Amino acid sequence: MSLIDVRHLRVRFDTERGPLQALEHVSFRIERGEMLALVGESGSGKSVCAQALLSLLPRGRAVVETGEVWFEGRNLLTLSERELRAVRGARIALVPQDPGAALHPLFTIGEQIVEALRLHQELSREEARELAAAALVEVGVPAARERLDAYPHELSGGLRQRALIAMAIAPRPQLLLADEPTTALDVTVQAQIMELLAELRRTRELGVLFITHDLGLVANYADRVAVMYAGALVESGPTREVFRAPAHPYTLGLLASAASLGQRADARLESIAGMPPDPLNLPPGCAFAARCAFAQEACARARPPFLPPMGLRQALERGVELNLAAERRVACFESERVVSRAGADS
Amino acid sequence: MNAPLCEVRELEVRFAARRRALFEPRRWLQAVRGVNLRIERGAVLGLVGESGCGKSTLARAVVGLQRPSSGSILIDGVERASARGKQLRELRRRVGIVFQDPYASLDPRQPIREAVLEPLSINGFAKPRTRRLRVLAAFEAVGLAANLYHRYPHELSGGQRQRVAIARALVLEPELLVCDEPTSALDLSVRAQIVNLLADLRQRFGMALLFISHDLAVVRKLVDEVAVMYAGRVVEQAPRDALFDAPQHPYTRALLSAIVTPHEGERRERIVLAGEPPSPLDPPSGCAFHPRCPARADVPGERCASELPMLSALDARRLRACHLDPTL
Repeated sequence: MSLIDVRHLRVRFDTERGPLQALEHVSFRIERGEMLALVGESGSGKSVCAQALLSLLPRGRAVVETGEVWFEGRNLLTLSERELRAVRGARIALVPQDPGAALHPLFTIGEQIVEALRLHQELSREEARELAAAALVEVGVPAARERLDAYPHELSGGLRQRALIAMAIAPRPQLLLADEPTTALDVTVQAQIMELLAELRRTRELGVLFITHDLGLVANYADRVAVMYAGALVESGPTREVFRAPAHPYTLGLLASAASLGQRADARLESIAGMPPDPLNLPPGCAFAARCAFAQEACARARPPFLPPMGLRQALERGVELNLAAERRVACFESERVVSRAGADS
Repeated sequence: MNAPLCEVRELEVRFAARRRALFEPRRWLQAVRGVNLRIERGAVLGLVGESGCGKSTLARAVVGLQRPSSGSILIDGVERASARGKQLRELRRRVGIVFQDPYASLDPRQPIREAVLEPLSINGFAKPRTRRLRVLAAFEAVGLAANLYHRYPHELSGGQRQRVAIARALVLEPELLVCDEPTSALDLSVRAQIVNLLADLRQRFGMALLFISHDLAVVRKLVDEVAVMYAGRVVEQAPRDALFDAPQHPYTRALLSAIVTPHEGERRERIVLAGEPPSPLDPPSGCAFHPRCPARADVPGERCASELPMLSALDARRLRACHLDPTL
């Protein structure tokens, strides 16, 4: 059984300007010790997705229309607020994007971790402090015991992010939702945090939902990838398979616009023309059709279903190293033509 | 021989840090510590480094938004700090800037046509009746549709706003455009559009660029030469391909190894540095990189902790500030 199994999650926001479909039939699973990267541009619905898993969406404005979130034998969307509190933080923890904003400036790091621990477990202050120190050691904070008494402003950005990860893992959760955990950090520090997450996956069998827009990090660290566009998953599968032979034109475009070190330095970057659609006014067909070089008439009329891509076998026969048994999905009528591009330029 | 378009000489920029106690001695934040750079006409210099390394302060000094504590900035041989009146206005025309965040750099209550027009009217360039034409020409050059002319910033996407910011700099027909992380606040697919736009503008107008970024993969697309900064100093400078193919400073090597791209066959061994960039209030002694340097442990009797390495020539076109043997 998967660690978490999200099925057909559909979320609507009621805004002043009308209903906004924030998530549309989002389905994915994460196994123990696995990292799934949820990739998309700003406004694509990645963060809404993480919030929906823990029922953290703004009450009254957000409506979960359909969907199930199976975790440790229960559907989280049917739990009471009281039951949810035993899951949030304790079983599923969140690592936020901006470590500067997520820590309370007036409490020491130790106080904040102790508080998080004592919310979930019957512990004395001393016991909780011991566990907090152990968590800081585990995430590689040097001089951990002294740092318990430090205030957030006394720590650098990287150390704050480590402290937040310590706070997240101290209650021993099974799943981390990491929402752009490295975006606010310098590149050399970013590498340290990604290595730390990889280590925690190994040592604690932590599952990680890694929300990001950095395809380079995805390629280097995530086992599987799910690509979001305008609130819907457009493609998912093992990272290597998807990146070798993307089956959705949006994935293809994102990969092409990521600057490469290998291609000729003066070559132009490919870019995706246009902009994402207005979420209040999504087209009836494929949301990407207006920007898509592969679009046919049918694309504007109907939403493509989320199915295994076409044309992988032919790509394999052309010499692209693919695993046909890998579980892949794509929402595109023209996936065969998209896949046929794989390996064309190498 | 003509003077270079822009020359930065022994530039130092210090800020007084707030005192933590009333009688504490004044502390200085050394943002830029003795930087020398030259940008020739039409050339593109990339300036890379992590937050707090002084690259944005240097950019602000080049456009005159930050007064040097010592050292000087010469634009076409004219010292920026001593220019007055007409000469100063002319310097402002010749050197433009594009900031990182197009959400913060445009006035929300000003239609974008006004934002682009403003530099012309403030400086009294162009006759009022030709100004509109110059604004439209700038719109065209950055690929903004003419029907956006009367819009406000909030009606535009991030990429369009950054185009407005570029148009606003272009309208004065600068010879040097300073770009301070112009793509960092943008989404990936839009980022590529802006990088391509800057490359096109350079081709079309022959502008020189000072391109500041921490995104090395983007820098590689655009620049002729790269200077790497660490803790307020340039630690390595070289022509683009030389720097990317054979970095000579241990910090440059680590920075390059931290670039991750999604393209297969580009996975290289990552040098994961310990620690973080130093605080500019309290930089380490000697070489500021020495506490994090993975190379120095192998060198017996090294001077890294005690003696500042000078930026010196390794060969005709490469500069490096490091005590270690270049063959290591």
